[in-house]
Amino acid sequence: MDVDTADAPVSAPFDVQASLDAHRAKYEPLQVTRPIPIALDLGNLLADDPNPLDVPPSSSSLESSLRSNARDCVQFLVNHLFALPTTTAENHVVVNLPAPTTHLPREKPVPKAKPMTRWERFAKTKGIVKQKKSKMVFDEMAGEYRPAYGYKSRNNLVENDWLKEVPASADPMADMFQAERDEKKERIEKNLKRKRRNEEEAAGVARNRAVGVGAPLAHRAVGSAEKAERKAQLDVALAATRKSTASMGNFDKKIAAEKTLKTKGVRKLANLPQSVSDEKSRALKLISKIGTGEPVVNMRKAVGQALGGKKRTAGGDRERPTKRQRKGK
Amino acid sequence: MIRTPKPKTARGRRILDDRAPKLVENTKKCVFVRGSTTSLAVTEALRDFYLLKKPHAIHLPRRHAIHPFDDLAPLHDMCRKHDSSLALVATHSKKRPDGLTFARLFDGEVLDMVEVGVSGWAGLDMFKVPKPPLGTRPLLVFSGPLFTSLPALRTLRSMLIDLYRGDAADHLAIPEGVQYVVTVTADPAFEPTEDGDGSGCRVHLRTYKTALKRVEGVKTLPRVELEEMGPRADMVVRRWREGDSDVMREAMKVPKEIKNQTAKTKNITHTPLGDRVGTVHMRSQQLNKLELRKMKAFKKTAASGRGSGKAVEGGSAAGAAVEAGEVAGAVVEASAKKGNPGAKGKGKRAAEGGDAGVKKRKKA
Repeated sequence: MDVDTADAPVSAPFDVQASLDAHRAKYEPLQVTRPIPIALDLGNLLADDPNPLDVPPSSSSLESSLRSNARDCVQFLVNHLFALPTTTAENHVVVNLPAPTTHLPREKPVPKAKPMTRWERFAKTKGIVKQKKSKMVFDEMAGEYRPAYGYKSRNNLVENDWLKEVPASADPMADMFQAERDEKKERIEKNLKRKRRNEEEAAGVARNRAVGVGAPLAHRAVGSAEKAERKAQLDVALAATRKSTASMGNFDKKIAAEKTLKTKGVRKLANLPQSVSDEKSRALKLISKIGTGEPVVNMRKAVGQALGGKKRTAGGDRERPTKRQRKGK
Repeated sequence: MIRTPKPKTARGRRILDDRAPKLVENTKKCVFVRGSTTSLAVTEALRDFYLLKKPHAIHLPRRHAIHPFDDLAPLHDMCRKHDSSLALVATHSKKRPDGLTFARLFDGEVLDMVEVGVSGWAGLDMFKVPKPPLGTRPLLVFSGPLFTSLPALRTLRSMLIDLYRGDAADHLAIPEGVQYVVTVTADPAFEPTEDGDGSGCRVHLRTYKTALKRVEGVKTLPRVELEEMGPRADMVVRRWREGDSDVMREAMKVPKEIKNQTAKTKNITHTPLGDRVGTVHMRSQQLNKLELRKMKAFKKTAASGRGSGKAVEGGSAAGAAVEAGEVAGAVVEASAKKGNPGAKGKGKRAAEGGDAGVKKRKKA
């Protein structure tokens, strides 16, 4: 600065603007512009500069161009970081970062919901909400707080009492201590049984799920063919259960959009004519009967059908009353 | 699938609980493994990367027979043992000198890997610059168009972000939080071949300490100055392995609960004073179907039900319309009986003049 002013003629006025510009030129600018704008992901403190690096052809210039490019990008990033809304926490000014926009893979799969136990399922349908209870409850008999359950609880003390009352209805010689112990054991057994059942059911759910997320990687790939096969198996099983009622599924309640079951086996069509000549001969036979007094229809069969549509049993033509008729009598 | 042992102690259970899949995941840990043979450069590189990643890092400086591109099993075991989903393996051989392999795991198995050859290494201690405090998040800069166009560089970029981003907190202390910056620049001279995936491309990794300087006359923004603090490396992409698309899809899933949290709330804005302002979108109003007060004049009476125009009470305009409609309706009936199509059309038009009249006519 001194040199500049010494060189200038004494009479010339001091150019403040030029001096300021010269001073500023020594520093890098605050505002950064690029042909292609720099993309920012402030949540990850990340700047992506898609512009190719401009390197003059000499080995020593690589470092300086890397550095100046980096500086510009960081300046751009910092400008945006400092413009974010701030809060104060523990004597520090803190900027609230937006959510990251660059998605990165998780390290573990998304956790699956634990299968519900029978009680939980029931509670959900009934809208029963679990309420927090205090571990210590006031025991009015003793006039002090005691644990709700377990060691030193009221229940526990009664259980371990040295004297037991024999109710009037009970056998006076019965061992009430043993009876209580047995009862407790039974309760525990029952609970364990339910626990086991819940676990089994949960395992079943897990097995069914094993085709998707969380399954071992080796088992995970499910092709469309395998899927179709599994679906076909399911269809067969479903058809079997639908037919497995006393009425072969005839009187089951229909579900909306339920497919009708296809009956397997060869269905015999009615006694249809086989050919034109066959039809002709049959018609002629029928016509020849008309007017001769011979019955045109099979009377026995017709009567049977009219009475109840029942098939004749092999045993004979004996009429069996229908259920309703029997009731009526 | 790993057989998870049943914990015998409460402490063991806590440890296993911490390792279980979570909605909001733990910060990814990284193991820094030294391969069976290593050079000075990669050994140093391993240590320096470890120092920068430190609270979420495990340094294994002894030699391990790990060759990630030949056999993944030892790497899987290593990561499983330390519950880490990132790994950096240092290797050195005659065929592939000074190698560093960045690996990323999902569900205990390697998702993707990139092997780079390191040259021009300069570690943290080569630069006499004060180092950032432990666990500071760096700023990240990726420079060059190749990071989006070449798959290998895309993978490398994603992996480096994963390695450096740390605990991805949603806040940052300023200016203390801005300590250093890691820049990765793709070689501008690299010309990818037609079907080139990016292997063979050189990237320059530089780490600078940032200095934020006050600018005269500017209150809010500092001026940034950089000073190199190391590590510095020029890395050539060698072998790499892309994530299997199915597994990748699984890994990129965002849990519903988190997706709902970040979902934008529509139509609710906040004023600078903190008032909540809701925007209500309505369909265009149909004034002709507007339901007004029920008036006695519109009431059906026994007489009007029979179709007599005289039964309409009151002198309102609506009442008049009803009357007109009824009269018109009568015309229609009359002319229809006569079989005069012209008169019928006329009647119809007249009936349309009054809405109530049309209704009446239909009933009549």
